[in-house]
Amino acid sequence: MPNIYWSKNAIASIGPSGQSSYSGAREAAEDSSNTTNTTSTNAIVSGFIRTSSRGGAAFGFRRSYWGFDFTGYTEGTISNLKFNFKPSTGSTGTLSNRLAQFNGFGTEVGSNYSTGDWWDSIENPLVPYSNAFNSPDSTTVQAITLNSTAITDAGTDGFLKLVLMNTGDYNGIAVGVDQSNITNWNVGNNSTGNIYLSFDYEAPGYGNKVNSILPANVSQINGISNSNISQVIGV
Amino acid sequence: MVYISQNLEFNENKIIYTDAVIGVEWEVMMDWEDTLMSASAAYICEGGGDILEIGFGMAISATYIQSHTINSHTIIENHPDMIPKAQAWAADKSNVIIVEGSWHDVKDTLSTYDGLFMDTYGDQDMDKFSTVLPSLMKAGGKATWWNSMTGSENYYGISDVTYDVYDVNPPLNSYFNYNQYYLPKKQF
Repeated sequence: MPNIYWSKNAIASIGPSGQSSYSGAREAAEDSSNTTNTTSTNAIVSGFIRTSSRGGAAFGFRRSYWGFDFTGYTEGTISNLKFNFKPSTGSTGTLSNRLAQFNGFGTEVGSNYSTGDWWDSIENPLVPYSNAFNSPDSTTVQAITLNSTAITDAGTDGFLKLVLMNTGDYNGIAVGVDQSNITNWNVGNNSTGNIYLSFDYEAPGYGNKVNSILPANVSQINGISNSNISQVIGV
Repeated sequence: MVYISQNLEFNENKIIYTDAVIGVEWEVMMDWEDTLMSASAAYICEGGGDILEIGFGMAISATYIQSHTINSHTIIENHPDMIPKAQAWAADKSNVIIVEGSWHDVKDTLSTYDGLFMDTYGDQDMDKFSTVLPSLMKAGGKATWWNSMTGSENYYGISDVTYDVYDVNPPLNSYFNYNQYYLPKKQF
């Protein structure tokens, strides 16, 4: 089971101070602050705050963006793809989050996040990569199953880029009740840290002709797992 | 921590507090609003009579209201740091009544009014204001409120409202950063 650690990351935020519009803050042209390629412990990786202010409410959002390089894994079959993270005990509020498709970090995972990626580089309408999941206020490592869309994108592009959003952000609904949902993680470095993808990988089948049959037509052979090859060898 | 549990800092030109949990300094009110407070007071006092002011703040609007010819001036204030200031301000004003508490909690003890100015902060009941407002107004009464939105709309969704537009140039702050203030006017 290979592991791929993050190649790029960013944590960005906007509001709540001065942000009186839910959608205005959520879908702003730029964030108000960001940090790239952090390895921090107890980093706030997602958040949604609604607080009653003067004649209305103020809204704050925080997201984290993650890029993973799948180079070397594009020819075969990826399955059982999971997003692994290590929470910290600094979290507060409702810690329901969701992972979705992100298009930043350049055409590959070659560029750092830029301030305009805040909303514009999130696929719209949102393309979920996971169901909603809870990030517990603990230090127990968690593994979140990514869906078939994420698997397809990883295999097709050779890069998987995603955004972590609190469900108060993901759902796009301006709630009318004050709340403060802050999710903290221990990030770690990009080779042995705490944020990585794990998956099963099956290398592609034999790429040449088999008894004059083109590779494209030997799907029945390509689809056989290694454990069953003895049946072929035994023929 | 909710607003009324925060410790307010009273400066010459603004009231602020710092939310330690999220590390943000919030302006509650600032003196750049003076013109807007004056205009708000003028509108609700056009017919004189009994005036209700919800939220004391820096006493800017309260002082303007007192400059008009009115019968009574009721002020509702719920922040424990603000109440003593309102009481001290009212000490030499015979027609002022200070009501302590949330406007929503005390609404059933109130009368009806010829003018009403709603300007609260951190108000957990603000979504109920549009429903309660008519019960506080006399026929022909005039109401306005702090309008955090720009353009001809209001947070409360109150209908049949007209707006006077004021050009403003507020310093960067946590509650209003537009260059035009739409003063709402609602007559019953």
